[in-house]
Amino acid sequence: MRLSIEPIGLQHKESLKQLFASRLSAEMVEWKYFDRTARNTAVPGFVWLRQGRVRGAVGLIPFQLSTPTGPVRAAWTCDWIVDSSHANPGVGVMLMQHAKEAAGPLFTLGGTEVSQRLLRRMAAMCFPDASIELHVPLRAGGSSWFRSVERRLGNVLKPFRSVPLRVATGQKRAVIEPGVSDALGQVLRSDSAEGMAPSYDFAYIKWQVGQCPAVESISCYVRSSKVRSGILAWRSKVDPREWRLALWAGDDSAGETREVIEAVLEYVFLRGAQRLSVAASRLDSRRLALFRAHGFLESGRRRSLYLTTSEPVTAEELRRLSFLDTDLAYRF
Amino acid sequence: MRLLLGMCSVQPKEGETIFYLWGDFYQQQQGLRYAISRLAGGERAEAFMFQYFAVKSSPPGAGHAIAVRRMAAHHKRIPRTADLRAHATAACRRTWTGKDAMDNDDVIRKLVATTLGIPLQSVHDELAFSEVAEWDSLNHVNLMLALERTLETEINEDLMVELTSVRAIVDFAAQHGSGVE
Repeated sequence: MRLSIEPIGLQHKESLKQLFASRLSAEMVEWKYFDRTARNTAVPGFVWLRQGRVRGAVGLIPFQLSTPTGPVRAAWTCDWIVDSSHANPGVGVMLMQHAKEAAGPLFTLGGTEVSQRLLRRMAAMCFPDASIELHVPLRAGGSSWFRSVERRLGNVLKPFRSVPLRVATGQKRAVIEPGVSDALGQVLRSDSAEGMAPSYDFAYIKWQVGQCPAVESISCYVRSSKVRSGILAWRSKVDPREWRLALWAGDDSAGETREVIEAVLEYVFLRGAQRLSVAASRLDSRRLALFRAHGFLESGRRRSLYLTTSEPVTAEELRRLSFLDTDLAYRF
Repeated sequence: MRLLLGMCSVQPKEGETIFYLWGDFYQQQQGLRYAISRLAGGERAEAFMFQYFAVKSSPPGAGHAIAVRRMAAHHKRIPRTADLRAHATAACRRTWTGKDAMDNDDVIRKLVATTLGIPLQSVHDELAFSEVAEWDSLNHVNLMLALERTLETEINEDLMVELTSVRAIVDFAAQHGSGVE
């Protein structure tokens, strides 16, 4: 079958912005698909052209997958879209086929009901509910209970959203810096997961969060000769009430890890946050226990993981997941 | 290619193969080449004598019918004109009544049913993409690939987004079938 499917290139920029207009600003499209600083020459995705315009696309976020047999080049999929998919049947599938052949193993986390229905049949492997979200309610408005009541009662409870659910405890030893600190680069290298897991380097997280136009970020670590634990936390520029974090912790760093978590909780609380969230693999029992010990509660939001590949593969479920996967970082 | 009046017996004899081809003149040429290539099996077509007969269809639009007779390689027998005319007439009559056309339509409907995994009796001309859960985007691609293989023709994106109903697919197949054995 012959389709006009091409790798995303500069010639598609304006047309791609039009296709994504309802979901991504022009600035976000520039950052996501045309800022290649952290992504080298990897293909950022594929587009389907019809009558000279981009009418469908699938985005790719390349990353390194750590496996027991060594690192593997892989990619997250995102922005899988076809203009009027009902009128263009099959094009979305063909886009994913092209991506699969070009980019090695493709991982998809979550997705719409339609895309997941297709992925369940296209994917080589599917891991239901692989990613779990947890959160700490810092103010009443961040509580799941409060939100469910508010949905039923409307804005009646709005004045109570800011009611604090914790108290400030004072200065912490941990350092807080704006943006993505170079210090996190040290702890990235020392934090490795067993089995298969994404292995993000400093360039990746700097692009994902530091350079993302939609979020503001801070870095938190304990200053010492060797940084053994660090957190990257960020919030939406549009809605400062919701914060997210990603944690890296080397071996024997329990003390520092506790300090950075408490420091971040304190910092975001003092800046009006209602909720601090984290995502983790359901297999990462150590992390889940750590977050639960700090008052994190399960949000009830789970995402399934799909692996699509054109090569025969024996893969296992990813043991480390976070909000740095695919394009979750800015999707609050 | 000039059309010549030819003949063939109604029942194929040993060493003979009858091809019925229908469509417009260009499609018949294509079908004839296909038939010859199938018969020749790589040998040069000149090794075989053949004569063909075309009868213009009636009513208009029903297409032409051509009967092609392959002569046995070891002898060249000139068939009787009367036999070929009768045979071709019978072939045209079948086309006019739509019998052969219906056979091909059934092939396509069976292809749709098999690819989508639905009962054959559920496949009617008005059935279209997304009207049944089984005809989703993925199965639409599978259907197009199956159609390409069956009809030995390439389907581009313009066609893929147009062939979204059984009727459209049947009509397309009727115009683009390269030959039926």
